[in-house]
Amino acid sequence: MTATTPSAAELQQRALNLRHLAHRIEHLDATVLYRRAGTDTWIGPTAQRCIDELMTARTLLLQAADASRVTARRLELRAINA
Amino acid sequence: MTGFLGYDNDRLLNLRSAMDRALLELSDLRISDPEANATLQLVRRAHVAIADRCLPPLRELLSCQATTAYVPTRLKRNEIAVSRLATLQLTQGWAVVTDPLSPRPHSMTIEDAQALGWALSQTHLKSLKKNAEIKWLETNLAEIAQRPELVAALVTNMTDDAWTHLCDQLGDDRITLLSTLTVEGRLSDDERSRLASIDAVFTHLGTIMASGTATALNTMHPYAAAMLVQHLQLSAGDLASLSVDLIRRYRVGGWADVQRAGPGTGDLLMHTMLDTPGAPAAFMLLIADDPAVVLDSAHNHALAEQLILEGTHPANITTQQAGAVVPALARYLLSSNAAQSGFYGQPIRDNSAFAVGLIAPWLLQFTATHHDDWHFVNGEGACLLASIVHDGEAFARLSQRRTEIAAGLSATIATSGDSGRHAVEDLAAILGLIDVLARQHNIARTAEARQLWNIGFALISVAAAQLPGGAVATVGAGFALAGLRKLLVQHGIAPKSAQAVEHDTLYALDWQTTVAAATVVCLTFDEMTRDGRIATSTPPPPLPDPHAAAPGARYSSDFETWLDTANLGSAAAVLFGLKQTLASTHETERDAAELATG
Repeated sequence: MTATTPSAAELQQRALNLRHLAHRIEHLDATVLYRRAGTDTWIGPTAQRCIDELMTARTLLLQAADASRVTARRLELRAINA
Repeated sequence: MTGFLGYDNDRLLNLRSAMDRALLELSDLRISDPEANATLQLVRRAHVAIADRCLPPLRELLSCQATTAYVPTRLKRNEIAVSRLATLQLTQGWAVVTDPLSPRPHSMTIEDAQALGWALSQTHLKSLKKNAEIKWLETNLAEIAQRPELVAALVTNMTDDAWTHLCDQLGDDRITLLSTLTVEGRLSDDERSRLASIDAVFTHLGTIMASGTATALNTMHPYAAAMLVQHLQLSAGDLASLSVDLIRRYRVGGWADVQRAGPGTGDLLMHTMLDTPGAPAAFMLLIADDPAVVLDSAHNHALAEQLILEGTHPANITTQQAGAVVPALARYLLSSNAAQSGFYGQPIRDNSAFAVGLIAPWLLQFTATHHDDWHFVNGEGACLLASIVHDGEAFARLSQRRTEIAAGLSATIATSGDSGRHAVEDLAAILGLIDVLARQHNIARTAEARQLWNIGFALISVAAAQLPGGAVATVGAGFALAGLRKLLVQHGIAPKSAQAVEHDTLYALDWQTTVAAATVVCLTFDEMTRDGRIATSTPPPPLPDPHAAAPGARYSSDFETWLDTANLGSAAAVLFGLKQTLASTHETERDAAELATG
């Protein structure tokens, strides 16, 4: 079985989907949850650990958005050469 | 220390709801593209962080289950280490529970500093019993003291009462620890640590207070205030004034540090003043009418004496200012018992010995030529001096203070208008005074006579430095002075020689005034030769004869013969006047008569 080479249009569509995904990720509520968990809500060791975890989650999500855009860019370059 | 968790219930419920919604959003995030795997892996890790590590404790906290690790608690208002939570619980209705996690160090926030100030002001701490509490204060106040915004947040919310109460407790605690050290000879590791933390807390509180108002010093125990004052960086005048107030309050009695364990209120303040240029003198001027403030307030007499000597040193106060302080202190010392035990039973101080040290730099003011300086009337200065230098032992002590005597003479000469003339007069006055004192006490022992010799040379050096011929360092440069120096060296008659001082006291003084006169004459002669007032071919002035039975009389005779034959013109009158000021013919003849009768 031979693999079919995607067309330029298919590659561009996939890149567009990935860019939409990056945009959605950046606007998830999860990226701003830390704002609700500050010292006007709670104070203490558990609260501090929670804030740390929420900041970690935010960082991971922003990295995910970046990764999605990098992939999208790669597909767009392949589409140009297809 | 057990951790505590405080929360606003409504806000926490909102947070949980937001987390639930966020997790749903994350779960809905899908894409079929195989090249999005890396992206989705990161999203899943974020989901795990929220779902598995943030949400469970939140649910447990809000579930109100009996088995929960979070046990509701009511904080005591005097637990300052959790002051912010206690404040929020009291004022905002926050729930507080025990937290199974240990607290982590974190930077103080403005809210933390505000809460600490508020908590300290709303509650009177019964005591800071736990070392951990003191340690907590030490750590957090250190951070506050370094950040102006935190200092402002703390002091704005901290009342004078709070300052007073906290510092009084720390001060009392410190005194207790020092008492334990005194009684038991050692402190446990915990006690040592506590003492160090208390001192550190005082340091930080002082730094914080320095940037704001210090009115609480008026209400706290003098000891606590003195601990703070060490770090306030006050000006010399303010420090002196505040120290007087605090010591007077301390002397009213009833303060904890009367137990004499470690440095007391007076000692702390005196240390601080000694470290602040200008403060000792400013302080002495303020207590001139109440010498007990300095003499009977320190546990360590040596410290008070150091402060007095520093504050009354001619380099630090004027002659007029000294006139208001030194006689008053001297009279107070004389009116106390000879061996003073002090207001609070401090170790014995030898008032007589200290009085000698006090007056040494100001000896000139006790001479007849200077009695107006301090407004002495009817021989009051002489009487006071005689009361202080009342025996051979006191005179020996005075002899040992030759450096101070010389410093006083130098300061007086330096501030007089016609320094050359006054230098000679003042030198003569002091040598004459020492002569009188020596004879009064019949000083005959070699060691004391040697001290006399040393005093005289120290003074001659000081006075000669003010003459036109220049400093004593130049002695030997001119023709006549070179001759005098050579003579002194040849005969071993120098300040360190034993030969001359092995004569009795009268001989030593007669020889000394003669050397002083010869020094002044030679210096002036050399100066006159240099500027042409005397011809270079003029024979140099005579030198003292160390082998003469009465050196003064011999020198006077030789000097007058030289004046008659050297053709000096108008310079003769000047040189004669200088010589007579130091060693008059009449005086030297009197000495000769006394030496002859043994």
